[in-house]
Amino acid sequence: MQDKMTYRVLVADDSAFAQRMVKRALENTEFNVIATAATDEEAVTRFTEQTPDLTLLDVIMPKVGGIEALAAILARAPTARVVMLSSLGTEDTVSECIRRGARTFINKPFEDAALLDCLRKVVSA
Amino acid sequence: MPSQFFGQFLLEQGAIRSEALIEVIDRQKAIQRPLCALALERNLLSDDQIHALDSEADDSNANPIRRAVAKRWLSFDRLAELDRSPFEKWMTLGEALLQEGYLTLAELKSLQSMYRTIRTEQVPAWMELAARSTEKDVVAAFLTDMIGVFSKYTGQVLAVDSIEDGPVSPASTWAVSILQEVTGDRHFHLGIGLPRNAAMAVAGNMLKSEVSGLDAMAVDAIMEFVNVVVGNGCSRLGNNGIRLSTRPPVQAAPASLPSCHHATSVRLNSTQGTLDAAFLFLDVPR
Repeated sequence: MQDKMTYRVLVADDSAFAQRMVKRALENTEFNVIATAATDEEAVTRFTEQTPDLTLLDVIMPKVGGIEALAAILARAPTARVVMLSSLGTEDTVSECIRRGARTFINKPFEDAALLDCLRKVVSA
Repeated sequence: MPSQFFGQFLLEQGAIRSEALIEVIDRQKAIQRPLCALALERNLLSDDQIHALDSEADDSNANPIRRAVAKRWLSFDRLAELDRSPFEKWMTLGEALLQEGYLTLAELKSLQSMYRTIRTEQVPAWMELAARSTEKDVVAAFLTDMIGVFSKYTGQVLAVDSIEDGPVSPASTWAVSILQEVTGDRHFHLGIGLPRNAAMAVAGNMLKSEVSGLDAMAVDAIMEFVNVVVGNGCSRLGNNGIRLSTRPPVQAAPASLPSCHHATSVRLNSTQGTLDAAFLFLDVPR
């Protein structure tokens, strides 16, 4: 019998509460949170160490911000699947994230089912 | 539901791919709509006046909108106002999607109908209080999201008690105060202050667990509440052409509120206690 496909996920958000919400939403699904990061720099470091299948990256983070971290990750691994997660869903922010190579953009606060649905679309694309 | 940019809603629904969204946004901004169309939309010119300008088009080389000014149907000030508004001169995202063939008219109408459903909120009674604020658009947008996000995270109702322009007086009862800066077409800080019991109740509801004290996780939950309110408020105003961005929230001592040229204080009540919000407006650098 074939094993169900699972995906290793990195969650980068400066809010421990937000990390917890994402972990809770992904519990008992095919998405397994293997690492978290609380800063943009740490996100890039964790990505390099862990090479996750999927990275969830917050936009509003201290220092350079999530969009620069996205660019740094894609400079290392151009085919990396990075999904941006933010409350700042303005046209400028969404389009910049997509132009820089994010697979999609999820608005906070999210419904657990909507987050899962988005991630499933990304990994099946 | 959160305020959303329509393009992000389309992505979330899987209605278009991200590359297509970027192509359509570029298309949308590459072609400007005629100023006459905008003037008609804003009721600055009537159908009859537009018709008259069109019928004269063959006899005159002058731009129709300039002829409207020459006829004194439109003032110079109104023309300048129209000309300054690139957001409204662009074709809509929907028009660009149709033009590029990414959606059919039926698909677009159906998606717009779904989008309107999640964006439409009843005009609340407190909007009358917000209307008295000098910065009523900002106050109304952020309070709408504050109430919505509070309900989403805690399952509780947050009611506006008062909205007043004037100096902000930090309450000695605040156990937690959070500040987040917003920049762009407006520049202000949104501050939130909570007494200890209310802060613990809010954090407990957000974390869905008992909170015995205001530890780092409890404070972090409240900071994320402010962060989501601010981000959603910026997005909501972005849908009206006001461009804003933000930095992460910080925990700030009540006495360290930044000086500002204008402030609006809001008191909100829930079953968990009172929550004070303050909008501290600074000048926008030109």
